[in-house]
Amino acid sequence: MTMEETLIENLVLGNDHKESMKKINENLVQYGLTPNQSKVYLYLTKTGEKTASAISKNLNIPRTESYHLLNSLEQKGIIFSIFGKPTKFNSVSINDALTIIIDNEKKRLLDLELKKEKILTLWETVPKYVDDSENVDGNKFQILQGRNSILVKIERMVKSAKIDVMVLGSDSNFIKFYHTEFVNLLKTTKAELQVLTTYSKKGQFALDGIPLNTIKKLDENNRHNFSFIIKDENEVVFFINSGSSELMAIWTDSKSFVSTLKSLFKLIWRKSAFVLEKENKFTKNMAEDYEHRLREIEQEKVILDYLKQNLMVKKEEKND
Amino acid sequence: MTNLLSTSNQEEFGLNVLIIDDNEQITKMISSFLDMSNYECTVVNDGKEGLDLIKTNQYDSIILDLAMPEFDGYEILDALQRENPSYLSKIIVLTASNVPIENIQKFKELGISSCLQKPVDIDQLLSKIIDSSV
Repeated sequence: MTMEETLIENLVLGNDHKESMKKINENLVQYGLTPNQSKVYLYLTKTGEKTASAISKNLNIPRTESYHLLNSLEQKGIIFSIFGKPTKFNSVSINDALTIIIDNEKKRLLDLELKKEKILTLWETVPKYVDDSENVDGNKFQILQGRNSILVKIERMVKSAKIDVMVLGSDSNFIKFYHTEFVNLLKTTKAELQVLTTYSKKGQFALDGIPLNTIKKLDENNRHNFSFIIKDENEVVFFINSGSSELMAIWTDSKSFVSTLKSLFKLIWRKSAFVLEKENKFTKNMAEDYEHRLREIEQEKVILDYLKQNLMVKKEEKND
Repeated sequence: MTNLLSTSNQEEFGLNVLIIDDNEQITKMISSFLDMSNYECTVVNDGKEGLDLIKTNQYDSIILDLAMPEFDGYEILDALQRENPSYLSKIIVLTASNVPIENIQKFKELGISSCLQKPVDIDQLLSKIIDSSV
């Protein structure tokens, strides 16, 4: 970063907010903006109307690219141009921008839904060249990359499960699915649910709502680094530790693979203990702490009375 | 009230009791009246230490508190369930906490001798100790 850029960034954002802006930038990328689109949008939002050349100069983006970026942001509806000589650009508020992006995505999904029917209808008119009977279940593998594609696969598996759903994994894996439909899917399955997990004090919140009689705790010796979900006798999603921050998994309907993992699961399940709902006095509110302490004091009093009475009896016996 | 000191068969009992509770005052008092009744008493105020003692010694009865810092009674029950389930029948849960009804049900399923909420009557506690030692 040049001195001028640093100066502009500090003037515009202030040192204290750099980290927040970095995070906002990263999040906007998840909303479908490129890093440079996000940079331009945030710059306009913070500084107000600017000419293309000023944007190009201050953000150190080549002039031609800055026109492309402004054009694409305008098409997305989150910046607008102000007629004049030279033309200036300004942005809509961040709240409006996010709403516009979300609405556009919703429309796009709706379009895809509508197109699905059309494609399927068209597909029916195309003659088949492959015999469906050749497509035998039991030998398919699929690499799943990213939380969403894994979740979509899990959803299909859990919803179609008829006998059982077996889940093995550490809390840290479940936390990655927090705020998704994952727990709700497990909760509502009609098949028998069995969950083997580390269930640590810090991570158990990720499984809130799943009945405790379906959860067993992995002990120290069984805290392996692998996680998987098995559906009935025929499908499994096996998580891969790829070393990157993105989740990766393998899905397969290989009978031998499913059967091996199922045997392993059953073995660990047999050796593991059910989770009990913990009553942690340190996390309870003050009233309950008080009640707890009061019971302890009452217990002390009961024991003291007992001891006192017995000592008196002993004394009387001595005197006799 | 049963007066154990005057119980003629007190010598016959001589039970070996382990008390695991972080409340030192309570453990001292319970061990006092058990000592007076010729019970052999071991006291620990730390859950982990308690679990180690259970694994390395034979006790006729184990009085266990649930809410303890660091390593609590639930963790002890977890470990016993996995490694030494036969000890569960020796356990008397004695707690000042509100124990959820599902847990009481679970205790029964696990074969835990009894679950008492403080304050508990001494006669009741003594009778539970004898029950759990059988």
